[in-house]
Amino acid sequence: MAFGSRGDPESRAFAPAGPTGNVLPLLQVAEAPRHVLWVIDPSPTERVVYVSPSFERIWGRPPGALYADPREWVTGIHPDDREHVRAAYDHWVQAPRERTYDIEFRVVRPDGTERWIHDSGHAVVSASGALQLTGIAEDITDRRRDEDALREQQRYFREMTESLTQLVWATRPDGHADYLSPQWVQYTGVPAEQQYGDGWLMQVHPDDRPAVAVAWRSAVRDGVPYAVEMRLRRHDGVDRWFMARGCPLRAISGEIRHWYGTSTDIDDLKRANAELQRERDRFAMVAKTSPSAVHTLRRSADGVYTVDFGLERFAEMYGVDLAEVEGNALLAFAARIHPDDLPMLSESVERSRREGTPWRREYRIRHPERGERWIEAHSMPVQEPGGATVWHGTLTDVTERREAESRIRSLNAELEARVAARTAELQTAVQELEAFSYSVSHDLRAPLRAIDGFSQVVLKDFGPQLPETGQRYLNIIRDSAQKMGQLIDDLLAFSRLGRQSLTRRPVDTSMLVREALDTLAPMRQGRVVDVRIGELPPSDCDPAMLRQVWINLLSNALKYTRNRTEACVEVGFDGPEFYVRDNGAGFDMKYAHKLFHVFERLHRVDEFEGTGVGLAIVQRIVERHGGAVRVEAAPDQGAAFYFRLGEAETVG
Amino acid sequence: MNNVEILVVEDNPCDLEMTLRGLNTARLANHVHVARDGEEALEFIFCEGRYAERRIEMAPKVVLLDLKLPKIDGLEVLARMKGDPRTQAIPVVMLTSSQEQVDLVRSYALGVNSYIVKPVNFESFVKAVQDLGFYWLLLNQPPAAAG
Repeated sequence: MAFGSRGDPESRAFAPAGPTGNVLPLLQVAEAPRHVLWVIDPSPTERVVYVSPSFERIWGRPPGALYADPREWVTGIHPDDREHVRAAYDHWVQAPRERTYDIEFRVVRPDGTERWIHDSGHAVVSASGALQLTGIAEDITDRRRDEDALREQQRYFREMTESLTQLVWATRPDGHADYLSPQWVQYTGVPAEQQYGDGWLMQVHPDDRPAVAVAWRSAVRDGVPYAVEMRLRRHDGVDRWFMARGCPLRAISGEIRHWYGTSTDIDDLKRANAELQRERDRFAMVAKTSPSAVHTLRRSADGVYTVDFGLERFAEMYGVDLAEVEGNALLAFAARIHPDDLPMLSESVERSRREGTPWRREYRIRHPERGERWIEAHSMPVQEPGGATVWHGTLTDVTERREAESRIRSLNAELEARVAARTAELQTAVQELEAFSYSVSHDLRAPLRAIDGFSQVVLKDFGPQLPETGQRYLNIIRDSAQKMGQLIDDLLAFSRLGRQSLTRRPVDTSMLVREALDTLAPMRQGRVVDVRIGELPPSDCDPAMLRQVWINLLSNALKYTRNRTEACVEVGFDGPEFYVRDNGAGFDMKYAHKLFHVFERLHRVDEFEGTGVGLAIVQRIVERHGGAVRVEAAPDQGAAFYFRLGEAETVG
Repeated sequence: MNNVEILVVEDNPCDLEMTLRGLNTARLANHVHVARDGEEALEFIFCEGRYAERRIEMAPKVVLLDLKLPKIDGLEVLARMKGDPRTQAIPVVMLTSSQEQVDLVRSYALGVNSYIVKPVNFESFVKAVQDLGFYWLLLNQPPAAAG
């Protein structure tokens, strides 16, 4: 409600009304450019007593109209605000002492521009004792604009705050939390109201809570930035690590107005760091406990060598004092290397660098305490951008190993010499045996031939002159000579088996069996023998030798079934074993162990002829094929011989 | 001495007598000459030493050669005969007590024409000698490519 005008006599009259000393300051207020001072007499009829001249500039209307119509000011109010303002003013005017009038509204000036006005009024008692209404209408357009801008800025900051991934918070200067961003609420799942003040501390992991509380309190007390790591409990009960940072916001005077802060989720980072640390610890532990010196050697682009990792073990390996290693490490280490090995080492390191190939060398060093040691070095070069080369690798003291190796080598050499000597002895023995059997085969038979031959001559030329007994004796002499000849032949065949070399190949077993039966055809002459041959898989064997096995087994079967009217010989394959079964004389199994020995027989010669070598030959051939032979028999129930062949030759 | 048809090289008197008896029975004994060791056999065949007056052209029709002989053994005699163009066509029958594979193999490698293992049984032996004697003697002209 604004009024008054300059040059109005009554307004002037108002001014002098106060004590002379007060006039000037009051006028200054009344005529301040952004304020309109107004004075109204409410009764007996509402009348404007004074209105500041600034009314015209703010309202864009002449103040004179106000004196005519005290409500003229209302017409300038923005239509949207007008009724509301009028109602508020009317309400106040009815009981101005009891009520207040304080309102903001817009004024539309005739040129269409708008101004914001803050208007307020009070009831006062004039010098004459009458009730007067007075007030100030202030042009607050600029302030409103500033406030709008501020609100806009606040909205902008809030949006920005709430779009951050961090949890954002703010507290009063005393540390009492009064803002927690929606992210905070969403993360904790606890309503913000429960967390204001110190309530948020309940979301901190119990183990971290005391330290966080202390850090926060001391930051608040000292007014210094706050930074602390803590675990915050998520809505689902999972604790995650956060980094909280806060800063005080100070007024120009220096006093703290507010604290602002963020809490950043560093859980993944922290886990990764922890894993990295564990890796480092593991590696350090491995490097530390390894008998080798695990190290990293660097050669800079300009040729300076340094040990980047594992220097301590590296130096210890060489017996170099750590103090000596400063500067170019290579010099200190090279001084320890055996002069004979040094050129080879430099050359090979250089080649490894040039070609990027792994470096592996054994060389000697002269250790000040341990003497000459052998070092085995393994490393892999990595070229770095900028021209440096880094070798990651190990150094191992292999002196003991080399000594052990050389002991083993000399033992081996000794052993080989011994084996060679034994082999030579054995060869001599074998040669002697061969010479022996050669001479047996020639020389032992010659006298037998003479015995047999001349007995024959005597019988032929002088037979009629001899008594019958004499003739019978001569025949016995001949039989014996021939038997001895057979013995010698069988024995030689048996001894030859051990020396003969074995040539194994897959052989049709059925064919071997048929060939053997063909050879033995004379034994079946004049007899009825039921020979049954089952399915026989091929054999991996020396065919000449295996043929002998079949011949011996089948001839036994034919021989011992000789007295059977229905002789039956069965050949077959069962599991890994071939077998020959007959229904012949058989024998008692308690003698089975003797069966395969040379010259061992279970039947008398006048029952079944034989030298007792056949089964020994079978066993030896089968054993040379890595196999085994066995027998099942019973007296008068026949016998069954089983044999299987093995993979490789066994010496025996 | 020059019309010898069978040369028997044998050191064992028993075996020799058996052999001669066998040849005799077969009526082949007329032109048999006996050498008692390898050295004598070679002198006879090559007309050297005590047989220097012999003419090499009058070669025996067949040689029955024992394998084991004093001084020079049968295999060497065989080697020398088969290694000389003048004598390599003479048929050689190796007689041996041995069934050693190695002897057999070497004899055939050296070009032996036949190989008999002397059995203990005298009759078989005589039979073998007779058969061989006949076989080679009946072929008037020894086969040039024999061996």
